[in-house]
Amino acid sequence: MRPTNPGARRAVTGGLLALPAACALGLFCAAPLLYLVRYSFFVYVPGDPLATGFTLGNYVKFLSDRYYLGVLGQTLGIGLAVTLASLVLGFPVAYGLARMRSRWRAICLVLIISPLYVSAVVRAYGWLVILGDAGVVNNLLRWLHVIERPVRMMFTPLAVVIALTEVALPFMILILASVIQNIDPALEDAAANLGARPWWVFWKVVLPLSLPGVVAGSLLVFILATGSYVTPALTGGKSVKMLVTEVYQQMTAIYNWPFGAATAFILLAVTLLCVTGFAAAVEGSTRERLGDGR
Amino acid sequence: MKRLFVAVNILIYAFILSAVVFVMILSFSPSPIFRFPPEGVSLVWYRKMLGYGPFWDSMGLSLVIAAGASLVAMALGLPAALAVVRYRFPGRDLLVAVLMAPIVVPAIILGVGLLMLYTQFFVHTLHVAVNGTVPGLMIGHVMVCLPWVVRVLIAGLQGADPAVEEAAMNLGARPLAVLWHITLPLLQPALVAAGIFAFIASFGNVELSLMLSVPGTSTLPVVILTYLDNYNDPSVAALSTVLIAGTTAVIVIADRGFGLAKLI
Repeated sequence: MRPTNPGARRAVTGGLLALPAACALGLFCAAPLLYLVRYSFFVYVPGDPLATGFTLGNYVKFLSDRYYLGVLGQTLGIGLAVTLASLVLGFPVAYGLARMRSRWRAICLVLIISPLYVSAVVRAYGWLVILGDAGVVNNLLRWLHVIERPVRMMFTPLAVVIALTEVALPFMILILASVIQNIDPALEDAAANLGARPWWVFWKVVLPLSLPGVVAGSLLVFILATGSYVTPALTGGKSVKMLVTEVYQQMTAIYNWPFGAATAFILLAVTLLCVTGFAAAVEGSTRERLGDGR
Repeated sequence: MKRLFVAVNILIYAFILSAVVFVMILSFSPSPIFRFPPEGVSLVWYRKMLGYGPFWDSMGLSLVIAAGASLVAMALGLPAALAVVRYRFPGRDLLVAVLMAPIVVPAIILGVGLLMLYTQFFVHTLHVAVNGTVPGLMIGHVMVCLPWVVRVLIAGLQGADPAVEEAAMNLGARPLAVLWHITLPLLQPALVAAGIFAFIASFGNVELSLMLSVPGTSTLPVVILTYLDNYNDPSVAALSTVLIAGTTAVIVIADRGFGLAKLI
């Protein structure tokens, strides 16, 4: 038996097994994205479906217009708010889940995951039911005589943040819980025995040790929040502008596809930049902390 | 302290479930808006929903697309997962990253890209009309399903001991026989979970369908979205309640049969 042959043959088999999926992804995921980039440099001719030419005009238009920069700013702001809210709300649940006994754990897990099985359209409709002018909150407050006239909550940035946080929370909780699970509870006990108060134990032991989960969860939630269309479109209405809703407008109502492509690519690029920048910053600060040895 | 922690947790669970729960409550309300205190129970929205044809036509289409897309995603994803877990080859890490890419790329952007590719490149260069067709939609949905399938199958394969496969191989079994008699039975729970996840990911997907469907080929979530734009009455809540009940039933049955909860 020649020793090098089986390994080489296994490498070929492995490559062949992966080939169909790789081809499908190349043709129908990578190629559309590359085509989108090319499309964003086409010249827009109103009424002409077949775009041609080459121009930087679509990007210049986006970057020189206050309106589009405002949309970009609001997208990033909402993304950041949703990420923070998911962290704050997700951490206690994830911690509880990670330290739970098995029977309760299964039930809680099902409760957390169950909204994922419901379409985003339906859940956005649920927030309309809750936050609308004739919704649950306004009805309850009016019944309790706290308010006279309905308070406007729907179609505001706040409604979008609330609805997106609900969409993103299950992902954040699952990622955080998987990391917290691996933290030895004995470490917390030791800190407590040495006189640390619960908040201090959280701040000095649990949070630093769960940092990888915090980073991974935040990145995924930020991507989800800036990239989903239905939730902001339904809960934000016409008054909340995000890049995704802008892309949709350009594609389906204005039919300026080259500009739509440029907007879509800017969204993709900005998300990736934020994500890599954040990951690098966290890695740097962790290294610093480990480097100073305390 | 402990009590405060539990109370905070209960509030957050309530927040996570509130949207779905209130949709279900509203579906039984006699009036089109939510009233507190409630005025009674009625099935009027269920009757209206049953009589609205587009819901049922599009549900049929959604079921076909979700079933087709999950099957194709499984057929592509299983060999890819096997390759990633059991084999070493150049570009393996890159493959894992690329397999997960459709999760990171917003579905609407993928939809826009596919729409442009379909309407420009496919029509003008290849002379194939795919946009607005069921296969065209299904291709997009396969991309949505693939990352979930691969992720669950990789986890399942990592949990299955390769020693069993090696033992069968040493006893003279051919690779395909090992796959059929050893690997696939070991993977059964993961295969079921992957199939269900893929099906749900496709069935609930709005963004891609919104870009790729034309009036004749709208999937259920797109029809619900259009209905909300035009009428905005609780028929949608009634339909959603039916869908939630259906999905829950499927998951509970699958869990009884295959122990799904362990895989999540």
